[in-house]
Amino acid sequence: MFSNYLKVALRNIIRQKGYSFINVAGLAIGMTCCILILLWVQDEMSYDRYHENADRIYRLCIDANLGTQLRAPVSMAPVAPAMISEFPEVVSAVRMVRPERVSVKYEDRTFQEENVGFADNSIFDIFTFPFISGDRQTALSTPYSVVITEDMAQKYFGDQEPVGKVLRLYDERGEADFTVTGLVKNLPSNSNFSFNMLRSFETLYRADPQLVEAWITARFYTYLLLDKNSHYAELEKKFPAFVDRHMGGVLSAMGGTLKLFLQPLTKIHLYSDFEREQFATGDITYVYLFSAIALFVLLIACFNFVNLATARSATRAREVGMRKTLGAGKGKLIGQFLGESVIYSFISIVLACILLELALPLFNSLAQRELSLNYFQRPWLIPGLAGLALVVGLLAGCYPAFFLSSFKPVRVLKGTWSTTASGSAFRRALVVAQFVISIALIIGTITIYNQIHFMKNKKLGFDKEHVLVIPNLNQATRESYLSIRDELLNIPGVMAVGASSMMPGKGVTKSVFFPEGFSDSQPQAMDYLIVDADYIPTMGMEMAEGRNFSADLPTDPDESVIINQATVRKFGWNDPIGKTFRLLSLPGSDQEGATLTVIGVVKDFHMASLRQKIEPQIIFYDISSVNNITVRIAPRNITHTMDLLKNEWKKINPQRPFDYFFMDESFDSQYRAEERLGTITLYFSLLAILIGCLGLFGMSSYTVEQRTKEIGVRKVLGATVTGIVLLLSKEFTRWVLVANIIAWPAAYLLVDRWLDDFAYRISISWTTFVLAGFLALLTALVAVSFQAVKAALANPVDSLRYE
Amino acid sequence: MIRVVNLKKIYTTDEVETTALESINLEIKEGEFVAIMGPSGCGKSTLLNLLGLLDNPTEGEYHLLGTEVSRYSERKRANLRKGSIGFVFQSFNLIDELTVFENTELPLLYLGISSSKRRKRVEEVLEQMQIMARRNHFPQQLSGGQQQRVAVARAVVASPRLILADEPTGNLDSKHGDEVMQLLSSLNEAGTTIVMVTHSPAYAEYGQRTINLFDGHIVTENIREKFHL
Repeated sequence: MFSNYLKVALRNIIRQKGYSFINVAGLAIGMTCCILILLWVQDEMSYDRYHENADRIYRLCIDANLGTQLRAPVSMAPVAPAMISEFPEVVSAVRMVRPERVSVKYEDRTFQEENVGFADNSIFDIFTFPFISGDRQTALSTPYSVVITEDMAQKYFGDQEPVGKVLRLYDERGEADFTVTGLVKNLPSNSNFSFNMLRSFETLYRADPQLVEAWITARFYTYLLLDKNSHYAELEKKFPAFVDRHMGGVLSAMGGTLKLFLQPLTKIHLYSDFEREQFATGDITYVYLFSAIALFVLLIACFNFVNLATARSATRAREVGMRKTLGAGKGKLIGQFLGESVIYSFISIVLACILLELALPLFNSLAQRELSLNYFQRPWLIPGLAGLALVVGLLAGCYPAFFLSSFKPVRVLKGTWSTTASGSAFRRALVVAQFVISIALIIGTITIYNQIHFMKNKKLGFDKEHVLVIPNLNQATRESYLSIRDELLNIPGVMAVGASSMMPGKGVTKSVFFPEGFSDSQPQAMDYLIVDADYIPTMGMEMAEGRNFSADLPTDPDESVIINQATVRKFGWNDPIGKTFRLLSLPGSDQEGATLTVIGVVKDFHMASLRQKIEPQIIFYDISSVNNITVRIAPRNITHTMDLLKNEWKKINPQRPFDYFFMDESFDSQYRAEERLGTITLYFSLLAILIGCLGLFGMSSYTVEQRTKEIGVRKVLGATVTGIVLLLSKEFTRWVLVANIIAWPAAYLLVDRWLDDFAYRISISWTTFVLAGFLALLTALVAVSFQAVKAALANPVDSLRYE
Repeated sequence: MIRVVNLKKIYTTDEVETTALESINLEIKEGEFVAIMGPSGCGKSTLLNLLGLLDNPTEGEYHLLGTEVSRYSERKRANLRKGSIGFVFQSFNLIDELTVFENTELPLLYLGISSSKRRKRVEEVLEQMQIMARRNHFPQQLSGGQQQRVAVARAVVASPRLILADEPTGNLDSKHGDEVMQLLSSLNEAGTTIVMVTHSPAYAEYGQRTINLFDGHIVTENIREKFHL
């Protein structure tokens, strides 16, 4: 019996080539999308779980209120050793700093390396980073030691043994030789945590013991390994007393509060939403969003199957009737048709696997992943795919199976039976649902692209074009900054040169200040920036009131500050010039408690991405604390100017490699996640529409088939070709219009929620909706009119002859 | 074999109620060959569908092989149908995706007969219908007469005691029509009861008895004594 079903199914597939193609192609594309996204989701969910102790590792975070709220995954350096000695449940702890961009030199070759960090040696007890060579017990226990990954070893030493080799590293602290003490395997890609090189934390201590011993500077990333039998919530209960013990005095003096709490390692990648994240994280919302898209695309493909199967039920009706006459029960027929759809589904999944192999490289470059269909490493993959095929087959097949098997043999065997009315309401609903999904996806895509365009083109309060940044100045460069600046200004094509402590798009530094009118117990946390007198004009920032710092006024560095308009708004000052700020401490300066006067207000500028509101900002003038040189160059002959700059830099600083980046690229790179989302959504909406159109094409061919007689009669009575095409397209047009009515409000709510994540966002325009609706209608009409025109052009005599 | 008492069939659509059959009383004995005649729309096919358990009557009794079956559920009717009733239709109703052999085999599949027995029986019947040479052809590759011979083969393969034929010659020319009638006639001679709806008085004469229907009523019954061979 089964072989009989199989025969009928396969012969049907072969005989109805067009129909089978539409079904198989639709299902295969739908499955490909779905599997791609599921692979991605699986990868997202697997982040950091490869560590053997993953479920016992927690990150220490603070929730501080010092004028403003700061929730961040950072803590103070002495916390880790104190916790180990005071809490028995803390087995081990490691401190790290935010990874840096560092120039690394070996022999005569120099490279810029991202992700060069510092860590205690305990990192190797807590996390699972397998050593290839070196001693994991001691690798990072001495100052100026460094552990590197396989890729780094290959890059610098080729096939030579790296352990024992010496690398010279240049960072903002200066330059030093580091001995390679360990070689670890490359980190897996599903690691939130990443490093190319890790220097010993002891090095930092050696460089600045005060910083490392300070209970006030929260800039270290601390991870704790808890005992197997302890629960982190229990440990957290002991934290308030701990904070009180160690920091109570400082906090009450400042009138601030500080809470410590723990974040499970495995929650960091998807659920962490802090300021000052150590590494870029993912977002659980996108996991849900993409899963929903995957499901929708698959549903569209299933709907196609259902639609086509019911639309062409007439061709199967006789078979059903005959089988029933011969004694087949409904159950047997349902089994037969379900079996057929499962066969379709299995053919499709084989095709999908081929498509996947082709699509994975593209998807990987879009999503920045290394996903692969490694059937051997993932033993669940083949059963998983078979399960998917089975589910899709049953899902797509169940309605047609019940529909087809319910035919009454008496009616279908006479040959006078037609299917025009049967199941059409259901089919219509499915087509509408397909278009609802497609239209919503188009609206989403257009909105994402509009927002990205908006963010890249919004006036930022400074001019990011044609600005070159030389980061990581060392002490020597800082000391001779003024003469370096003059040398750079002599280069033709260099228009202006300035210097600053931080750059827009590269994070912010915060400290607490006491503005005029605030007492000692009311500290105000604010972003601060340290610049030279030329930075504001070089960046193209504008003064709203007052004046810029002046190099000619020797009192400016010690007595003057500039604030932004957000600060003026925050404190509600009508006349900000002349107001004062008292300092608590200024890192990198010893002006403890000095009072400075506001001499100017700079127009608001975006230090962070447009996701965040412009925060109050206080700007100091101090050449000795700058880290970056900003060079504005003429838009013409950029390559030539760059060459001159490189040569000049070699002369100024022969030891130090010329490391630079362009401001616009660096600032816009903050929107990479959005761009990725945009591209992926674009591709998936295109595929959703393609599958939907395949279905419409198939549907319309059956509709046309059914209405052959009507078309013939109409033509005999004088209808024109245009009239017939319009007649046939009218029905589909109506469905698309209905779909718009449903899709618009749903899409509005979704994109509005997405846009809410941005402090600066576009307003949702009705044109987006109309455009999406129009695009959907256009594609539908193209799909339908092909069949309609063919039918309208046919000779009516042919279509009427059979009557 | 068949006893029908006061049979009535009403079709109801949204607004219209159509009485297709009314007060039908009929008895058909085992081994009989009965022809049903009458103008279009008189209820011939409806009667045949009721006799074939494809449909239930609205009122009345239907005794098939001594059992009252007029209120049977679809499942029970299907079970009774398979094996005991064979059908031949005007439009053949062969399944396009199956070969001659596979079409003929279908009733045996639903009866759950083993593969070797099926093969033997199907070959026997195809031989008998002189269509063995075409056993691997698909219906579209056959002439109308050949298709109807396959349909007859399919109807008799499970050796049913009753064959219901609904205008089996309606789509055939006279030569092929004659062939099919010969087949039915010889089946009847071998003991199978046959009820056949036809428009053709000549073919009706193959039967021992003709029932004339008009507007859902039996109007006359002609009984013939001699067989046509």
